[in-house]
Amino acid sequence: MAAIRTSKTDLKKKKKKKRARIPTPTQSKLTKEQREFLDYKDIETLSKFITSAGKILPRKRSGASHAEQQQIRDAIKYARFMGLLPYVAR
Amino acid sequence: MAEDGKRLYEGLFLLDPGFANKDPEGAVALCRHVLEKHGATVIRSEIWGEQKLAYEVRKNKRGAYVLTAFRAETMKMGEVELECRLTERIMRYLFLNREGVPIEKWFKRYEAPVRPPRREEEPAEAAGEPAAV
Repeated sequence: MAAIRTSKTDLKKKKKKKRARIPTPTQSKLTKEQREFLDYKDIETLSKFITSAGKILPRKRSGASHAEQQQIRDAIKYARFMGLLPYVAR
Repeated sequence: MAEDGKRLYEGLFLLDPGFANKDPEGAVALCRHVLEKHGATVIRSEIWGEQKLAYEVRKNKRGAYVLTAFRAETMKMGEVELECRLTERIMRYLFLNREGVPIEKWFKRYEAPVRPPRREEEPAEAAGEPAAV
């Protein structure tokens, strides 16, 4: 059986086609007040920062600064513990 | 820290739904009792009605919450937590230090987000019925 030969340039083209560009948000969806103080009971806001499976969004997708991401992460973890948000959602 | 050596805390209790439904006032009283037994002064307390939990806690799909604001000595908080663990009607508890944060900022109930009904549920039920018959 003859091996299928693909040149390097072909491979590069293929890769480029596969990658879909996801626009990265430059700012998180938090309001000014929430940036100061984010409450773990505020599920409506927090649910914007989890995937449908219940995972916490990475900074690249949430658009949060480091400090904001820490707040979001802690709040989600408290909410999960109290049964307000799921650890795993189907 | 205030002059009396106490800190402001936020406490959220997750209670057994059967007990809290029958006796909402008793549920609040239970939480107050747990806190006041160890020298805490309860500033505010509020019960949230029974609601659906994100996952099962002690085999319960639903639960009732009691939100409290209280001042307590830091060294006594370990005792309070032990008391909560030993109280069977309290399924979960969470105490957070809110010293320096105005009480209006966090002492409130947020409305539950409106979720669209799941698409999966309807076909599953329809598929399940003929099999049962």
